[in-house]
Amino acid sequence: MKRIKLSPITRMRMNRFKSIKRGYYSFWLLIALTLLSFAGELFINSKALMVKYEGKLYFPVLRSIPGISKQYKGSDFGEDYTYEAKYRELQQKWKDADSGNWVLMPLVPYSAGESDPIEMTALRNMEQELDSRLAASIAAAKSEIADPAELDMRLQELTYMRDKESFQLFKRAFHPLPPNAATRHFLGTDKIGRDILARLVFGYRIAIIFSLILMLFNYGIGVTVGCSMGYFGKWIDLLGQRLIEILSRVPFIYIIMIASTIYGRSFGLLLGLMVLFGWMGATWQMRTATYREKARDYIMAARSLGASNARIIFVHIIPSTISLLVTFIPFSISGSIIGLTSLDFLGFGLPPGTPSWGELMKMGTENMDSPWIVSSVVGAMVLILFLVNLVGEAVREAFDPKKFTQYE
Amino acid sequence: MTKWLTYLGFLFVLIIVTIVSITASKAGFLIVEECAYEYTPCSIEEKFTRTFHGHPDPLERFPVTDETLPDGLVWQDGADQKPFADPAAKKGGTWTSFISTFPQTLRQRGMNANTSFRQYLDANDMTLVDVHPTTEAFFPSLAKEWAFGPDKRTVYFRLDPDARWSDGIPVTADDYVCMLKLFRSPGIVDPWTNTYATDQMEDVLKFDDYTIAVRFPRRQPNLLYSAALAPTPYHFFGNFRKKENDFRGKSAYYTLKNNRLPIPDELKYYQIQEHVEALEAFVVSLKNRLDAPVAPAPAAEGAVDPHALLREVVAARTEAATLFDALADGRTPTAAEIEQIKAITAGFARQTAQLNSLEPTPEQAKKPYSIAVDDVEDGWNKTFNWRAKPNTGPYQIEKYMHGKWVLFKRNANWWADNHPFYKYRYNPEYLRYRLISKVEIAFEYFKQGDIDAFNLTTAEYWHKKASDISQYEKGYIQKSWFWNDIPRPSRLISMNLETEILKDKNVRLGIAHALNIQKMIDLAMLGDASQADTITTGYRGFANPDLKAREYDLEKATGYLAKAGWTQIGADGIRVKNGKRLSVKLLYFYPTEKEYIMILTEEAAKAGIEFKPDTYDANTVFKFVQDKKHEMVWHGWSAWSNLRGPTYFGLFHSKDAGVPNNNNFCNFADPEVDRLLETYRNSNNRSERQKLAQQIQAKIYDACCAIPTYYIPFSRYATWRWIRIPDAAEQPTSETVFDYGLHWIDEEMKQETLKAMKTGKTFPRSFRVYDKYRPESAK
Repeated sequence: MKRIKLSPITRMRMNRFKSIKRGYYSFWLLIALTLLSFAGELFINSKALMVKYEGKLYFPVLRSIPGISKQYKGSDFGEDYTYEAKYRELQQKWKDADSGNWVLMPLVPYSAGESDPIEMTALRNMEQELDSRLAASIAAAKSEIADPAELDMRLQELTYMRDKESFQLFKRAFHPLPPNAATRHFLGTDKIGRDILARLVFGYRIAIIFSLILMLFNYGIGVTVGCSMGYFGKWIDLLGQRLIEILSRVPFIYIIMIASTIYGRSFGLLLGLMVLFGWMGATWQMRTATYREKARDYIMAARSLGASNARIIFVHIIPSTISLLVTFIPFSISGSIIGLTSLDFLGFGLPPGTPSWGELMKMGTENMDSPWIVSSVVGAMVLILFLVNLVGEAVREAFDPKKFTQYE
Repeated sequence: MTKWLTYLGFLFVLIIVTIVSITASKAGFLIVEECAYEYTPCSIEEKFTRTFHGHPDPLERFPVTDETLPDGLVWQDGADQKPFADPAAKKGGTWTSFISTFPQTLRQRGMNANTSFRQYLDANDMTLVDVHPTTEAFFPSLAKEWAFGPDKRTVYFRLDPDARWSDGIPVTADDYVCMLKLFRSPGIVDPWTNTYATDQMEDVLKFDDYTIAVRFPRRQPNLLYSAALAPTPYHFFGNFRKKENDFRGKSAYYTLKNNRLPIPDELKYYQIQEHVEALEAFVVSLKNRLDAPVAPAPAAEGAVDPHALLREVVAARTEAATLFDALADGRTPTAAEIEQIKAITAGFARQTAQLNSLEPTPEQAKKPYSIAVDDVEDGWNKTFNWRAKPNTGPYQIEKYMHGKWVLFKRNANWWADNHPFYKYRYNPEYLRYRLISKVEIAFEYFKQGDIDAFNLTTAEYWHKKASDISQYEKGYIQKSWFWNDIPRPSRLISMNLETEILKDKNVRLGIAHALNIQKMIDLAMLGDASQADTITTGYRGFANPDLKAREYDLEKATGYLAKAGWTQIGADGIRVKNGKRLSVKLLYFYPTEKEYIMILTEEAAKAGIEFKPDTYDANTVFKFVQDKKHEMVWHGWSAWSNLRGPTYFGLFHSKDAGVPNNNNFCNFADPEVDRLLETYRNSNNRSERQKLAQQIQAKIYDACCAIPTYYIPFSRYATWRWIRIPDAAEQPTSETVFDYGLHWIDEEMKQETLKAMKTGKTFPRSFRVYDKYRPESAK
């Protein structure tokens, strides 16, 4: 295998990047977080990691990898139902029975879309107890107090007291519930009982995949179109400029609304639309950079030596302009994460049910009395954007250092 | 230099501010518009000799009908009903509430008039008779007495001579005729109202100034309920004038008929159709008395003569009606009557066939007929856009500020102030509706005491946002929980039977058993709702007590799906059959329902069913579903009056199946159900209707195409201490304690409370539960 040879200038840039410690560590931390989120099913899953049943080992979590067919049914583990096994229940049951069977659950035993149910029967029983207590105290009050006005006030106070206790009961029982290590909801639950940590992690995964693909397309198109506009100039440039001007004046949010009405909301559609209206930034940069480079003497030299257009573009122009683009990449990633989040916040983003930061943010701001929702998502967002921006700053510093200043 | 620049800057800002404020006031913002009318009583003679509201000419009296009152009318006046308001009520004070959008117009008919604000205007239009909240019987309102005509589609009314418009002009028969003419005017640009008044109403007859009759083209499920019309102020809208307008097809026929003009032969089809539809109502019911179906009578040879057919159908309709009435008590028909029924039924089948052969071609149906009809002046919509009409009710708009608020004032000279059924009701002096577009902000206003009552029916407000507000703990705000037993809106999940996956009944049953509605109620609504058993809940007598909601049972769901051949489970846990995944799109209307849907989706996935939830804006979803492009849809129908019973015809009749632009969201088609639906629609016997409604529900339940979800059996309110609610507010037909205007504002208590809030004095805390009418199913 031929080793990739780095040009001395690239090596110098790499070394400069490494020397900027906060950017360098942020980069690795970001990579680590992203890789962790890709392996999120191993830590956050309603399927068990490992099951030992009747002396045999099972690995249900592997069954969540696409392509490996079928799930384990309840009947596979001696239960009397034929749909997917309820691993959390099995774990509890076998632990109590002490039968030698066991279930190893992931750290967070919930999947991102799953609502953690409430013990409704217990709650109803407690409510009934409150009711019977109320009935008893009403009867007592009726026998004690003769004055109807006073009795009425007493009865209302009793109803109020019962209601107050019921509120407390509801507060403790109903979602959103605050972070609790015992139930393994480390960041609490959202309004309908879904685990916030799970939604954060999988939401991050989708956002980062989305922004990486988006970046790839935006820069691919941007470099191609921008470079040809700059290099060939004339009518290609004129045409390109007009096209960009037209596209940048189209109200993006309306297009999203209309398109999602016609085609339904989906990852691909959103990506396509964001590419359609997002490639212009890189194009402008590339066009100016190409114009600048094209006028340089070494290009003239190459041309006089008889180099073809393709060779000039790919061997001379792109390598010398790419450093400019590389410095923009981290910022465009943070930009598309913010873009996706705000679209989701407005309700025009990914299809409903997809874990998303924007959705969590909306729920959090609507339920400020459950501060763990909004603080989790804001915290996660601040962390990721902070890391990305540190990396971006370091990359810019490494690739485009303003080390010398000339005074004239 | 700088100094001068600063002066210039100030001048510039001043000019800008002036321009902006002038533009704003020109555009109608920030200006208080006055709407009140002076109360100037007058006699009937004056009503037709003076001029009113800027009209140049005095009103023309409408002609008296050439009919005479039939003999033997039995006049009723609801004298056995008892007043229900609390005599302790005090008048006065201001009731402040909020609206979330400002109305586009103050008209109640015409362009853009169908706004949410219209309910406050409609509430002040009294009707001929009114419904008693306890007994659901009728009591007199604008009419003093009423009597049913022998044809069973006409009601005669004797008007109350005391009734006055809010500007003091007497309410007379002409105001009812004016209502019909106004509703039929093409110039109001309100197709729904036009069609309703043209096709669904036949006539308002004027016998003298205080005697009228309301007639419908067909018998009605509850005739008096349909006939309880609200008049429009003739003196306010002014004279009509004749104007030529183009009408086509059916509406041309009805317009000619309503104007008593000759019907040309090309339109005879619609005339016969009208009678055939009325005849059908009787035939469907009479047919049930026969043991065996009757073969259609053979058609005569040659072309159909429309005149002969019309005569025949009219005769048959009269005969069938007589027979229907004779058998109305449910006795067994005699042999002669059986023969008669057979003859009518056989004839009806032939007449229908003959009618179909006369059906006009599309060109004929589009042919315009120029007919001179009574119409309003040009620009009627614009003229009356911001002029509140005088009304007969307790409140009249006093003034409003565009985009800010609307103020109603109680009519000091309200004619019904001492009317036995309206005394002690509608007590606040002013009603103020502030525009507050967000509920959260309105709640903050409420907590400050700027709004008097706040609806806490949603679990979110009751259990969270309003659970421990300090004003409640201190006794300034009181809470009430009102259990009600009224017709509920039907919230259904409808499945499109014409889609590949859902046309299999076993799949539908599987899906029904995989819908965890109870968990949805528990998690998303904090248990504050009940699972609905039937598609129409809460109609007393109409709901089928034998139907029980299908429970969430994965085992049953799996069984049904296996029966349908969906046995294989794919890599993602979703069932697969012949390479196709068991995946259905589930549309919903409002973003707020997203959480409900997510829970259902997650729970259904356990049975190997994938729901793909999606939504657009509500109007688009509605259009989409009306055009049957959906697979499954979560939607709602608003409730009907219990007096009339629920309506099913438009929802399940086969004529709408597979055809776009109607409300048969399931594309449901079943000849047996069609028969039930037709009989139900045409029957005006309450107990028969109840029985039929139950049968229809059972059929739909069996087909498992529209799955009932939940209903909320109560309303909850927080009110400031000074809002006094009498015990009488707990009525079997009330949705909230404010329904019949029985509450009042205690000004002394208000001052006391406001003072106490400053000094920190507290009052006994108050929480009232009204559970007299708590439905059995919600216990």
